[in-house]
Amino acid sequence: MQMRTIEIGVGAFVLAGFLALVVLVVQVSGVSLVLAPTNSHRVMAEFDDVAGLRVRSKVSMAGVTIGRVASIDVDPLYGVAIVEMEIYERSWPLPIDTGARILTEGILGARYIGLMPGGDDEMLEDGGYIQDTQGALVLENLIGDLVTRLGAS
Amino acid sequence: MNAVLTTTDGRVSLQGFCVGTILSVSLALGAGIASAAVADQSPHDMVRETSDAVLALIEQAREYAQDDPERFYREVQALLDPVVDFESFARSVMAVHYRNATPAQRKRFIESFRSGLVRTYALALTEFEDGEVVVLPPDRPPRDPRRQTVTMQIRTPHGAVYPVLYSVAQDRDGAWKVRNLIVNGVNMGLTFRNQFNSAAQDPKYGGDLDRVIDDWADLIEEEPPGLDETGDAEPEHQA
Repeated sequence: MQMRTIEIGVGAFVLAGFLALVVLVVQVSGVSLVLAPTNSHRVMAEFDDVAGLRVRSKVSMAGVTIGRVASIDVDPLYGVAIVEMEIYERSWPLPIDTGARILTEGILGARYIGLMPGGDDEMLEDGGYIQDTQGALVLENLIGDLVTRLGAS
Repeated sequence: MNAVLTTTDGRVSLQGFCVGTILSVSLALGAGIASAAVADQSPHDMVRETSDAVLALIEQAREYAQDDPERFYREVQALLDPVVDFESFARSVMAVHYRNATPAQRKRFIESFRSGLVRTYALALTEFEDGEVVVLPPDRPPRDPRRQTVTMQIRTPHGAVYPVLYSVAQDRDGAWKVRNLIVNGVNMGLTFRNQFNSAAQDPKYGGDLDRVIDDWADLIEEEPPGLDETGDAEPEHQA
């Protein structure tokens, strides 16, 4: 009987370990599992490179999560990524000259979108496009740039 | 003699062909845009004409730019004033702080932003020697007919190509003006906005917008890393 309780205890411990691992992975990846509040607004943005951004990645302003990535598409004709974001009701509306940048979180490098508020009195419409964007800076491109610059000098 | 003539002919007709294709392509695309927005000059022509004028100015200014930089800045500014919407550009850099700024502060920042940008630009230009500037024809219909992006390529003699993207918007009179630029993938407007915001929150300035505006020129002159190498003056100091 005592054997049995020990076995159950070990089983529970192992399960808890796995659960903790799952929680850790979800936390580290920066993907939020919480469902978006029903009241959210859509904002679109075009980026030249989204490197590593995923659906459900965070959208934040001043470090506060104010939404998440709803979908990522590519325009194959012109090679730009089109990102659709859901912005929660409490952070709406956003000025029309809001800027969007793709940033990296922590040393593991989860990508997220950082919004920078603008100063315009006009506000973005639901489904509107953010004009000023800064795509992800890809390491390989930076190295390539450095190589041509070294070659030149 | 005859052979030379034919090669010259060949070159001329080839060039004519290229220009013709580009023209017809841009015209074909332009026709679609023109129906939505009526403007005398396409933004691509505006950028092309301005860069030609600026290149011509550098050629002339080579002799006096070192001795009389103020004159060079003034002349560059005269070329940029009609085609750059410094007011909107500066406003998007101040962003949230624009709302709290007094009209006097706003005006002072626009001025300081303008002269800072012109100086940085003019300094970068003096470095530019045998390169080539190409304005690419519009590659796709804009989403918003009042806003477009013009792509320019700066090709150095060493073979490096730097893309510069100008965000242009139509003002009330229908003229196209530059509002932002993306140099080699770096959005300058957003970079400046970030810098202004950090400076406004920096305890060094204690949240005093006036002091941030005063220091703005120094803040951005530190910015472009390539410019330190411009210091032709430094070896002269040592000598």
